[in-house]
Amino acid sequence: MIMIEPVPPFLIYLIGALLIPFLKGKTKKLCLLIIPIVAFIDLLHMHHGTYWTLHFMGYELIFGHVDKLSMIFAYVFVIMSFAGLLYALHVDDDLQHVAAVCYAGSSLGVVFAGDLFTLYAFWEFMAMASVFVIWADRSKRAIDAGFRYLMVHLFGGAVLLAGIVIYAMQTGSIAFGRLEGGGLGFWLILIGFILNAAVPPLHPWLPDAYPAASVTGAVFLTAYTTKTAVYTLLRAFPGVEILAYLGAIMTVYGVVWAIMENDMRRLLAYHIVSQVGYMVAGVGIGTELSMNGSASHAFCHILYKALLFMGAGAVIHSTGLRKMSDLTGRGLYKKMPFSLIFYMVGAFSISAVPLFNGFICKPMIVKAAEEAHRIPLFFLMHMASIGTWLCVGLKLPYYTWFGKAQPGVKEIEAKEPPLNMLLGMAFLSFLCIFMGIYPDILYRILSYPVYFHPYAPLHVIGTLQMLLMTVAGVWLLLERLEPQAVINLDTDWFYRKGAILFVKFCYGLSAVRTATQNLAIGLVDGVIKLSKNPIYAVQSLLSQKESGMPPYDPNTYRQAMGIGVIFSLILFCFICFIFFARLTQLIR
Amino acid sequence: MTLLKVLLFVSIVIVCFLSFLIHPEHEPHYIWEKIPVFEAIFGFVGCIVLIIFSKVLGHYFLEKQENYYDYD
Repeated sequence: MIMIEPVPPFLIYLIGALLIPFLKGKTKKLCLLIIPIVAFIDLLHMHHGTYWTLHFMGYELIFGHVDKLSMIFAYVFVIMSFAGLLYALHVDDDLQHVAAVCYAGSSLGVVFAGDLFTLYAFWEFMAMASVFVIWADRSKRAIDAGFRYLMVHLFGGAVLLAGIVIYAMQTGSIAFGRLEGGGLGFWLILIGFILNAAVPPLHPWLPDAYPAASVTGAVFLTAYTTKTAVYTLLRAFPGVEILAYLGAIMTVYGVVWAIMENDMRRLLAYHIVSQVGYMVAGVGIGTELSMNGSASHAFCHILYKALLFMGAGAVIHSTGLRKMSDLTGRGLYKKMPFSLIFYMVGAFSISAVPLFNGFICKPMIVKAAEEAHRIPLFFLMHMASIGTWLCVGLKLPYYTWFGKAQPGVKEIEAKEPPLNMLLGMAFLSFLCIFMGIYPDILYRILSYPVYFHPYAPLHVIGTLQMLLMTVAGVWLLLERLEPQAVINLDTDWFYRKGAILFVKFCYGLSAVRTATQNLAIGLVDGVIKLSKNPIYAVQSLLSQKESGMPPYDPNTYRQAMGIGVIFSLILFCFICFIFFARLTQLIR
Repeated sequence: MTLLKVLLFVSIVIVCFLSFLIHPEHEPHYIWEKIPVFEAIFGFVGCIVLIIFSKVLGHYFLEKQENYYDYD
């Protein structure tokens, strides 16, 4: 047996990313698929502990902080990158592949970072790589959304860095573990993390940017940024009370906005907000069950959410249409049945239908809230489960693939996407079902021992009741649910409209500056004119004539001036004479 | 569609009926654990509340034309 010495997994991705532009055709495709496979083998050989350390400016930077929690996230990140690259294999765009591989690699760097500085470095690297994944679509919408995304994340990164520096100064430690105290540094780091976890009101970058990315790029985006944030929250802020409430509100918030939404992938993006809410709430509740629930939900969520984006992406790839209002009633189910089936596997998973992987993880967090006597949290999350099923499981597939045929609207022209896209979806569908049937494979790798049985008969029956009655409710209100060709405002209104207001304010300031400058120029101009020819200037002022001032000619008034001067000199002499005469009288 | 409706109705009846037969493994702690069809009622009411709330919120406050953010 050959002993394999593990290397930092992000290095594998980085080297792979550097190789991609130099390879061609089949070799490039092979390389893309081999990167995650090599990384997975590498993970299998990593053991728990702390290694790959580097001394830098008196601090110890740790690139390998390996325990159960980091391994769960690393496994799913690597599996996800395989599925994503398989789905994107037909794309001939080096920028997109390199950005996606770097993005996956840097998220692995975050997961294994043992200190705050290393974490921050990979955090920013991830933001940069992901913005290129968005820009790789090259459409105006993607470029604009990418810039907004970058601004928000650079702001978040700056807050995080400020937090880290203050925390390091206060405690003298940069170790990345459970953070203590409640100082400014603690809270700034928390804000930096929850911005990436898309916690409202800091979330609108997500539904803004993800649907703007390309079909294949969006699949990567769904997995990494929010889930690395969940990982960092799990590691650093377990049991922080405010997270429990924020998370529970987040679950419902995402659902409510998703119900209004018309753009397929924007609807799904709001469900990322909703689903990450469960994980954040799980971190906030802070019991073993809830923490296990958060980690396992992150694992399952990455798989089914990528699958959902792949399904919606397949429709966009084939039809070029993103909005349900354009697709409804055009018989897409006849043209793309396989995409529908794979999409529905994802939809059943996210809705926690028994035998799919959402069923083995999400109820853990809801149950944990109930066991911890957090009744409002329990009901909020339970409510969000209904909303998830109604949007992702019923609304989106109904209006995309089916819908009432409108008179005069032609049946849609479409065909199934390329084989590699179907294979990517099939791979994730298999994992979703396999984990749903055999939950132990996930439960075994969780941080704490699992005493949760998803397939308790009453739980299965209760879930089925809820799901079926939701179908009945949707059926009753089907006409109200019809997607409209509108957009819905979110908290990004503040900075999108705010930015325009700010630009207008800047224009105003600029106008004040111009006015001041013109005034000063006018004054100087006047003084110049006055000094050029003072007499004529006064004349022109009196006669209100502006133009045609002749240059100063000393001979023009020489005689008049001379007489004046002589008279004044005579007057002066006369005054002097009287003055001296009076003076001599006084002295005498 | 009629067939689907019948199927849905029948399956709802079956799962609701089943919940009367199966008893919880542990003593019910909360009031809703004692109601056998609680999940069904919650699912139905919750679904309707969510749709109405969301549509009202959208219709009266948040809906805008698709070119709302366009600028030049």
